[in-house]
Amino acid sequence: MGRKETEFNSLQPLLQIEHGGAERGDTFWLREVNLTLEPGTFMGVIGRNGAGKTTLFHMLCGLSRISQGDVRIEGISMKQEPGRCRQKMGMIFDDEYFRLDLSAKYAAKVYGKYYENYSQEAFLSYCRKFEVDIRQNVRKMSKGNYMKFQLAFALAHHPRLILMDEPEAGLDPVFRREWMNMLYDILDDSCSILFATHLTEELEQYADAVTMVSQGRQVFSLTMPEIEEQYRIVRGSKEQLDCLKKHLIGRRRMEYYEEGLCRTEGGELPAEVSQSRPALAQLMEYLDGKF
Amino acid sequence: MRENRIDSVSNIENNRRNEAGRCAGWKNFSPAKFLSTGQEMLVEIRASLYTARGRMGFVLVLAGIIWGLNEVRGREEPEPFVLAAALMWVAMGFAMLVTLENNKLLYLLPVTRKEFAAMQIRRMMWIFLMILGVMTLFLACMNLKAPLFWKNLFLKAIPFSGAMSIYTIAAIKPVKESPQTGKKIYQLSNVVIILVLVCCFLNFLVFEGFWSILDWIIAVIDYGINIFTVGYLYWKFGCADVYYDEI
Repeated sequence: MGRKETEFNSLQPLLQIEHGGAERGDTFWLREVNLTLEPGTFMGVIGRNGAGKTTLFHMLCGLSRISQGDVRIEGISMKQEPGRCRQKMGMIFDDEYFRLDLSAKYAAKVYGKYYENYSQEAFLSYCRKFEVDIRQNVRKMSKGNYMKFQLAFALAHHPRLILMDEPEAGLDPVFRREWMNMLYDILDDSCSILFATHLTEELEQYADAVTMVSQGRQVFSLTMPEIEEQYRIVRGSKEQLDCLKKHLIGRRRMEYYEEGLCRTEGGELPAEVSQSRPALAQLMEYLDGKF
Repeated sequence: MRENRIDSVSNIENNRRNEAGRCAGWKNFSPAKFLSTGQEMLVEIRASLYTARGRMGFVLVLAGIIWGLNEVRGREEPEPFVLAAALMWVAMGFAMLVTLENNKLLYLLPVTRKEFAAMQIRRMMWIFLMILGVMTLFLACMNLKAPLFWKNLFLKAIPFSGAMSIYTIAAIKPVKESPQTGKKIYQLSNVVIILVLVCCFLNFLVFEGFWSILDWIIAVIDYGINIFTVGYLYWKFGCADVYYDEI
């Protein structure tokens, strides 16, 4: 890549989705998604089952048709140049994409050739670091090793964006913590991560930004400080919460008090109600749940 | 000023890529790419020998070759049905040895649709050469005079190997029909594949004599159908407006 192109790319967001929508058959599965991801950012994607997270990832990597808007990776249109966009992506999926009857070493060697920046030495070095047996058949790997193999392969072609669709499902808590630490280590100014997950507690610790989808639509896409600024969990008596009615998104009655989620729009709420930062799980409950 | 300069850099870059895109179709069939696919298949075959499926494929290839050689050795007119069955084993064995890949993964690779299509055609060409090699071996072991050897090679072996290799790549997903989005996938594949196989077996099994016009007509039709099918499959892999999630 030339210096001028590097300079040009450095002015572009790493990932930009403008009014993105995806359809399967005649049905829209996702619509009006607007998302911007800057370099070096760890963004989580949350939502209930069937909310559209996997469709969003399929749209990003070209498995689903982009039927509305466009997806741009460093300014390159996914609709017009999917091959160039995929050069910049590393993909880690819970699905069986990589389940081949090949050893890890050979699978990486065969498919690495399609990436301009792929290095088999780098792959082998990451495998050593992550303790992946390169002689083992990929189809017979344990879930954890399969994930680590995919990560090693993704990193070996030096991607700018790593996509992960619920890779931690079915993994033990110790491995999940190790996995998140691994991801945090690889994150730098040149690489960003988009991570769909149900593990909201882990996201709160590691993510810089979060996007929430519900029923095929984007609810929000905000950085963690913006979430803290815009949303508040409030607790108080029924009368106190009635006074906040115009700010309340949802509320529920507890045994001795009432609790609700407020959208503050940057303004201050009355001091007499107890306020706290909402957990991502609470945001999901109030914005997408039924009470 | 700075934005203008960046725009012009972007335009130059786009023009360069558009220019490259125009001749990309031919580049996909360059000798270097062809050899690269061969190397890839070699790695795949080597790796597949460590798997039950790969070993089964290898056994089928060997059994087909041994069976076929037993049938043709020293004969002038071997039993065509037996020879066809032996060759089918060889073709099936090769297909099992070299089709370990997960099709969904291919959709995730950083290649364009046309490159993907060319990749399949290059694989087909390698399988064609392997089957043709086995058929040539069979013909060489038969007690044939030179003109009959060449006639069998050009009128029988080449179209038969072509049809078998077409069949192995026709199993790649975009060719399969989908009731969900049938209107977006062209509905010809199965008809075309059946046509190819019927015509190749007809050509292989009919042998009227050296000067028989029927032999020549069937062979010419077989060639025509094979060439049409390769073009059709390339067009379908490379130009069909279908995404993986719609298959």
